[in-house]
Amino acid sequence: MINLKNISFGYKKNKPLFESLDLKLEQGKIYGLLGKNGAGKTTLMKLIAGLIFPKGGELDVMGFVPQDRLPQFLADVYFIHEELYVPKLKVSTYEKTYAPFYPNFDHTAFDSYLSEFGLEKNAKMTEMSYGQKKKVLLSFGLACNSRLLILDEPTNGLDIPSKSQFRKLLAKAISNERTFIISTHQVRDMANLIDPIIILEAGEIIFQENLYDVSKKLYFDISYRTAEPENVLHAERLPGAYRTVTENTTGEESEIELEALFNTVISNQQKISELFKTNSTHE
Amino acid sequence: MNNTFDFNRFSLLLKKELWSGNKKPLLVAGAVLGFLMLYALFMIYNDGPAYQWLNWNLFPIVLFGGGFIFTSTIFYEFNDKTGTHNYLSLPASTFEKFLSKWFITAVLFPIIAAIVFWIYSTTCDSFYSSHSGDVDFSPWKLTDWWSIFFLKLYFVLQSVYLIGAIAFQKYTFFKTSLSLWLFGIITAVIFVVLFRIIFNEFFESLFQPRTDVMWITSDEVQHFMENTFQPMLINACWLLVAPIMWAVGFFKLKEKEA
Repeated sequence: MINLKNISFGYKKNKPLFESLDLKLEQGKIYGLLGKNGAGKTTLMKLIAGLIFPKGGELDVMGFVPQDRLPQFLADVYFIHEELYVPKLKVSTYEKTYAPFYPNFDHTAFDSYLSEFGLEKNAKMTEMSYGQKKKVLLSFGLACNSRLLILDEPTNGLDIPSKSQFRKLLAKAISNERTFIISTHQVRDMANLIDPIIILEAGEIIFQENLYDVSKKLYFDISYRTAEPENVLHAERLPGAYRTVTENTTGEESEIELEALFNTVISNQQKISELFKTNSTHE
Repeated sequence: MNNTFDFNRFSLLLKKELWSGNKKPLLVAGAVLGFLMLYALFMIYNDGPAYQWLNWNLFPIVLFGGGFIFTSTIFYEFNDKTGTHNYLSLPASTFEKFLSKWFITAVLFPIIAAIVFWIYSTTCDSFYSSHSGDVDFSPWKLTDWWSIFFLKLYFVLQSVYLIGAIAFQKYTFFKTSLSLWLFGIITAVIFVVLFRIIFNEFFESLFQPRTDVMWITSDEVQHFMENTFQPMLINACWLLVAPIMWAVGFFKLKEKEA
């Protein structure tokens, strides 16, 4: 579906962000792209969408070279950016104007997404709040039925009920033919939805695993004690307890806490890499 | 699927431009036309004879002023920090995007401007005739050489403003106007200096031509220059400048999109 080989990219000549970046993504999955600020998440998504061009390497997205920006490719990709741009149009006019560019656009689904988000079709988009604009674009992006949907911080600006609605809609919209890539800092909003997880750190993919493998290799627990636990990969202080991440030696499954997973990977890169070596092919 | 040009996508782009384009220039144009109407009526009732020439002078002002400002804003989405992604992600080719914007600014705008101006001038002319009783004056006509000349000139200059709309991110109209003006001055200076150097023997002081030397000694050459070369040169300028500029604009857009 998406294949990046030896990709290099940098905004400045002597400051490369990616050097020899390899990544393979399969269809039918909701990928969670995590990383600290400036790790290169948005840049990676822009490269995949053909909005910026790699300096070197090979990039194949659904059989297309994104930088050709062929209409056929663009009609099969929808990217919702963190910084939103909406024209001075009513939602209904926006639908009439932009939907015909996407041959698989589902008008009935769009109407149902809007009503689930509690939005009016005759409202003017520029007069909406940030969250409402985002909900319109999320509804539009999901209704496009494009094979690739890229979402940069989709839950930013959404109120609590909308976050839950969004999760429901996303779970409903995914199919074997579609792939969603979601970059987020709000990992709790995406719990039980994103799988596999990709962690990007300083322009390198340091982790790409599905949650099944994570639960087999790592054990997440809450330890009710005041002293910091020992022999753990990661420990986070909670009121009266510690959230711990340890190597799973018993094979017992635990509930994965994405924030703890992220912190564990970031602070134990070498160890995690060795632990997941057997299936860490970035595939 | 044709990924370079598809008529369906092109018509969708036109629809998008007309529905969701920046309507500010059109509003400004409407306001200007309203002002002109009032000004014309004011002139008819206060200084009748001066009105007879008003529309001949107003047509190029409306055509150039409105058209160049409108053209300068046509790539506003592409030049907007957050709009760029929207523009680039839209499933259409660069050629289709360029062609739709060219069609609206180079073809549609002058047609609409001419129709609206005709409505305005016909209305005001009938007011003038009924008010002054002068039915013998020459009202503004679209088919007159004066109007045709300005329409041709609009076509040529608009192509430069289209490049400006692509190349400049902010203050597009002013930057293009300034560039055009500077280009005109520099070209004129270079032309004069080269002319003076090449034809040095025909001058006695810096710019004083010698009267004792014939520039063209042969009648045949003079006839060729006046009847063939000069018209050919003028026609070439009318016919070639705009297409060359459109091509430059298209490649500039491709370069900027990358």
